[in-house]
Amino acid sequence: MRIGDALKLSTRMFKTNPARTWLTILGMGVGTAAVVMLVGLGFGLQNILLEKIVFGDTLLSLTVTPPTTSAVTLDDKAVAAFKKLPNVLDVSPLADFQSLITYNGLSANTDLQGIQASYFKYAGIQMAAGSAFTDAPADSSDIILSSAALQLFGVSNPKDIIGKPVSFRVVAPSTGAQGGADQVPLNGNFTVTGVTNDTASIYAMIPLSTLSSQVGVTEYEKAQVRVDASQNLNAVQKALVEAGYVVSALSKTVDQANQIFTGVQWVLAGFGGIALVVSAIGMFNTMTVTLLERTGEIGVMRTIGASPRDIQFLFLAEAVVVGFLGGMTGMGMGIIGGLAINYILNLVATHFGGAAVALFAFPATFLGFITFFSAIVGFVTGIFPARRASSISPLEAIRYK
Amino acid sequence: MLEPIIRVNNIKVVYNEGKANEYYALRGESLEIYPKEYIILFGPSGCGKSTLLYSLLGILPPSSGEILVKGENPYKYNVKKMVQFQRSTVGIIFQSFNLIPSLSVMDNVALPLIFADVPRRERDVRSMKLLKQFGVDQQAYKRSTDLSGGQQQRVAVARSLINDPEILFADEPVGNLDSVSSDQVMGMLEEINIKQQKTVILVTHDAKLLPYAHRVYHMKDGGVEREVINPEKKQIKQTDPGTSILSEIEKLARIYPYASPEELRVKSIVNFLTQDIGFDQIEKLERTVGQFIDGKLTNEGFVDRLMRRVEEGGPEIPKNNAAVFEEKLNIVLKEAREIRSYRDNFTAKVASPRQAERIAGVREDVLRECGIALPPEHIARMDELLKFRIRGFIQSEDFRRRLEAPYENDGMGIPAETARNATWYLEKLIGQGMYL
Repeated sequence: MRIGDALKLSTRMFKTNPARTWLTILGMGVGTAAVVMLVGLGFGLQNILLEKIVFGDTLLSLTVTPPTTSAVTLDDKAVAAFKKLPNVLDVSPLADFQSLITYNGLSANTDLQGIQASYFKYAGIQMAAGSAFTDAPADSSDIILSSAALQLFGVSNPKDIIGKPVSFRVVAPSTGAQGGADQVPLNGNFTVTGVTNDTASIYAMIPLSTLSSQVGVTEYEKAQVRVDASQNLNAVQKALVEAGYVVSALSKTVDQANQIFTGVQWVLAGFGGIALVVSAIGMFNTMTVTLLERTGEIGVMRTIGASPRDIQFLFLAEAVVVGFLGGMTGMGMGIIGGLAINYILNLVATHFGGAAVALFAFPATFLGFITFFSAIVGFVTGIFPARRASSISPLEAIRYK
Repeated sequence: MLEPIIRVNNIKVVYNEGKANEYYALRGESLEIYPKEYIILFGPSGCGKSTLLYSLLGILPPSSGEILVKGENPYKYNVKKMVQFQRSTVGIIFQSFNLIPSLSVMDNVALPLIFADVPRRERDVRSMKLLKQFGVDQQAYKRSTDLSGGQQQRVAVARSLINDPEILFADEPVGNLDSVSSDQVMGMLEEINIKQQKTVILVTHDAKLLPYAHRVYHMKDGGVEREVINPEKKQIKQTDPGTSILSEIEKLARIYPYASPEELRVKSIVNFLTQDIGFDQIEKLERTVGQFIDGKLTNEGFVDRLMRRVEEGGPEIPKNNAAVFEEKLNIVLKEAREIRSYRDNFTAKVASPRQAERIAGVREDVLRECGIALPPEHIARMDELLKFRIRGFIQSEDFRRRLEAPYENDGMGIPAETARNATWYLEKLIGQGMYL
């Protein structure tokens, strides 16, 4: 039998029994919609977490810190050594000093971090307002504050502080023989040009060159080591660990997060799957009834030259069509449902001052899989009725009333 | 020697074998069907005729025995060859048409080709040709359920022929049809048998269809009771001279299809004892009288036709008798009309002086026919009796008893034999009048 003919013969139920057919499709649709929506929620949550941190440079960077109890230090020599390691493209260190920041007559304690512009990329720092500085001399007195630091001055809108002057006093190790610490004022007219979206830690960032020109930078707090390709991450990390440093990789964290979310998605899919199984049983039931209804027809077809395979094929085709259309309907319902829920939640969230998020995500590969999978579910559901239809004796079928 | 296209050797079909409700649908059947023959399997329901048909179609394996179609046993075929067999060797039409309601007429006809992977264009051309041949091409794009029964069966015939099979099976093909559609479909089957030279095997319990067949297998209780050759068709099955002889019993079987051979023998003897003419003549006489009653023949034409020789389709009645027949028939028909009018007026409660005249007319005719002379004073009572009988107040038996009874006892005092003749004749007149 030709595919076109099979399709024509196996879509007759839309003419003969449209209500039942569409209800069956709707049943499959609801099951599929449950899967699509729940898994879509899983994807959405995963995205919300990962889209903040997942950048190419960030994922390919290793964060290196000196061990707390060892003689190994992270200084310019070490940074130079890192740069010579195979597969390392760049190293971007961070110098950290305790400091006193003064804005608008108010002073507060903060970390002052001296960095090169590349550090923003490697550490995956994102701006809530303004922009990051570059290594150019023109940006030498630019200051970046964290969102958390704004709280110190009671500034709620990050944009309000852009372009405002701030001044610093750095707590540096004393140069005197007796040790201790001196408070050294930093010279220069510093202006806030950007605010990061970090609401957890209080810090200010300043170009490393500006900092080191006024304060003696002997050791770094940490350094970002940019590796050329992801497959070399482990080798570089191993080399660094062997040199005595503590290394953490964001990519590992992302991997773990992804693993957890895969688990979450499977659990969600499992819940949706229960609905789908119920729908599939309903569809199976309908197919069985259809089989009884068509028994006479099967007998006639068998006596006029249809082989048992033809009959089996027709039933399977019908099941696949219903399953596939169920999948399509379910996909539509799931996506629309998800987006609707998202829209309502966002309305509520923004009303109470929260940020709008995309709680649901439907990747194309996932939707493609659902399309395929729904047809498979239809196929599986159709196997038994199709087998029975093809094995029924033509004589009994003709005489069946 | 012509080889049979179907050979059935001692087949038995047992349902529920070995169980308490074991049932022998066929108990050891043997028969041979030759190419281009038109065979009818005839018998009452439950005689096994359909069982035999479905066994031949390849969907009901016999419990024992052998079926050979074109020299091969289809039950030894694998699935693929069996499908091929059902696709191209045999075709079938059913009593209930069995079209697929969800498909158009065209697709129904083309369905066997769809299963055979024939491209759409070729399919449509072939099915349209058949639809045209059977006069249902106007309905090609309608749904099969929108057609009349006769049209549906014609579509079914087209479907059975789309693969050009050699053998066409028909299971009570006109059982669900009115007489006009039935005639059309039977005509089609005959044409398929004669013009397209296909072997037709038809199952029916309707004796009207028997004249279409070359041979009829009369079946009863799961077996062939006898084989009846249709003497009006040129036989395809060859028989050695002398092995079989076409006797009057075979001819009688065609007239009385439900009678057993014993009953036919009795009929033949009784015919010899009581009638001057044979069944052949009776049949033709009946046809001629029928035409006359229908008004298709004039008096002269009737007499003329009565005298025609048997070979020319007449009953070959001698000239004198023919004239008597004509006269008697006319009188009977006239009195039958009078009786009908009398009853019509009586039931409509119309009082008319013509009513008494009608009774008098019938009386005169009965008396003359039976040679009875009544004293004038008896006539009033005779008329009274006739009136009672014609109105239906008394039964024919009562009427006869009253004729026989002495005049003193309210009777007519007519001798028994004459009274019986008179009653018999009057009953004929009433019977004719009632169904005029």
